[in-house]
Amino acid sequence: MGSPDNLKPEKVPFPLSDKEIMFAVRDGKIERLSLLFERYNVNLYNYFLRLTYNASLSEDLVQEVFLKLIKYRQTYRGEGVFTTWMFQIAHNTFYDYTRKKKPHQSIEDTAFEIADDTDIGESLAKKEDLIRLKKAISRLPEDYREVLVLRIYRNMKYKDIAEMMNCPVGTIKARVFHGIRKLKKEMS
Amino acid sequence: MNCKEFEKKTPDYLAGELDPAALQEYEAHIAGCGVCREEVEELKKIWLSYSELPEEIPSRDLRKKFDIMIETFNTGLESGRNESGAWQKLNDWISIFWPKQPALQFALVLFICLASLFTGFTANEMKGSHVSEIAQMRDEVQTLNQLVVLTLLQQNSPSERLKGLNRINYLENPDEAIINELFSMISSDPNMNVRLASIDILNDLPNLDYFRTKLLSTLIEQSSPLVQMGIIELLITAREKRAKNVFREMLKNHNLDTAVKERLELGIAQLESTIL
Repeated sequence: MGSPDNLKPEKVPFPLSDKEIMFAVRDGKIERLSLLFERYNVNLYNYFLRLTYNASLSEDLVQEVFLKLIKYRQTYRGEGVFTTWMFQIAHNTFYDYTRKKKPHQSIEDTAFEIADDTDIGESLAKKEDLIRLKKAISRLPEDYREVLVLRIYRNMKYKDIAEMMNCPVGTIKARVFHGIRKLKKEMS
Repeated sequence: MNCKEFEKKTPDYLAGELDPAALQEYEAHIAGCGVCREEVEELKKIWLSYSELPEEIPSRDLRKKFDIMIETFNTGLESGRNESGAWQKLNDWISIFWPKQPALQFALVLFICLASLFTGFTANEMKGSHVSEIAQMRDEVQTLNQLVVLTLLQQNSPSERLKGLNRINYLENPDEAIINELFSMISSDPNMNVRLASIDILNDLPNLDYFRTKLLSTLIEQSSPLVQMGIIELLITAREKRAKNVFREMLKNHNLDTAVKERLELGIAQLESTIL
C-alpha cells in the first residue's frame, strides 16, 4: 500500500552552483541572477560599506555590480572561482567611483555606529572598541582598506586578491601587514 | 628566521596560511624574540577585532531596485527582439554592403578616403555652387548625432545613459524625441544619478522657456525629494513666476520632506522678491 499523494516528500532541487547560475544568465535566463543576488548582496554591500562608510552609496554600488554582471555576461567563461570574478567587477566599480568622487568628502559620525541589537558579546567597552576600530579603518588609505576587507571579511586567499587587483602577492601581503600595523598604532 | 623574515611571514601567520614547517620556524622565532612576540600578539588582537566587526544588512530598497532593474532589462530585451530600431536597421543595411574580409574592408576604407580627398579638391574649385550641399551634409551629420544620443539614452546601463546626457551638450538643437526622453528620465529613471544629471542638462539647454511648463508638471508628479529639489532649483534660477502657485500647492502636502518644504518656502520668497 503506497502513501497518499499529499504525504509524499517533495523533491528539493539540488542547489545550483554560482557557475551554473551565471552560465544560465549568460544564456539569457536573466531572472536567475536573483539567486546570485540573494547569495551575495550582503557580502557586496559590506565590502563597499567598509570602503566608503556610506550606506546609500554602497547600495548603489551593489546595484552597479549586478548591472555589470548582466552587461558583461557574455564575457563569462566559467574559469576560476565565480566570486573572484564578481569581486573583480566590484573592485573596478569602486575605483570608477573614486575617480569621479569629489575630494575630501567627510564621513558622517553615524557611519561608525554599531546597532544595539548586534550580537557582539559582552560590553559597552567592546562596542566602543569596535567603533574606534571602524574610525581607524576609515583613516587608512583605500588600497589598505580594500585588502583588509578582502582578506579578513571575505576570507579570500592572498593569491586570489593579487589576481583580482592585478598586483604581486608580495604587495598584497605588505599592504595587509602595514594596514594592520597602522590600525594597531591608531588603537593604542 | 630573523626579524625581517618574521615580518614577511606575519601576514601568512595571521591568515593561517603558513605550512607546518614555516609555522614551526615562525613560532620558534617568537618564542625567542620578545619584541616580535609582543608585536604579533597585538596584531592578532586587531585581526580578531576586525573579524568581529558586525555584518550590516542593506535596506529593503536594494532588493526593490534590483527587481526593477531585472524587470526593466527583460522588458527592454523583449521590445528589442520585436522591433529593430532605427540604429539596428542602419547596421543591418550597412552589413549588406560591408565586406567580411579585413583586406577588402581596408581597400574600401582607402577608396573612401581617396574619393573624399578628390571630392574635396574638386569642391574647392567649385566652392560657390556646393555650399548648399555642404549645408545638407551638416544637417545629415546633425541627424546622425541626434540618433546616437537617443540610442545611448535608451541603453540599460546607467553609465551609457550618462554618456548620452553628456553628448546632448554637443547638439545644436536637441529634437523632440530627445527632450521627451530627458523628461522621462527625470521622472522615472531607476538610477538617481541619471535623474539628477538629466535635470542638470536641462539647465544648460538654450531654450529653457519651452521646457518650463513640462518641468512644472514633472515637479507636481514627482515624489523623490532629491529630484524635487533639483527641479525647484532650476525653476528658481529660471525665475519662473508660475512656480509660486505650484510650490504653494506642494506645501499643502503633509508628507513632504522637511528639506523640500524649507526650500519651497524660501523659493516662494525669492520668486516674489524683485531681487534674486
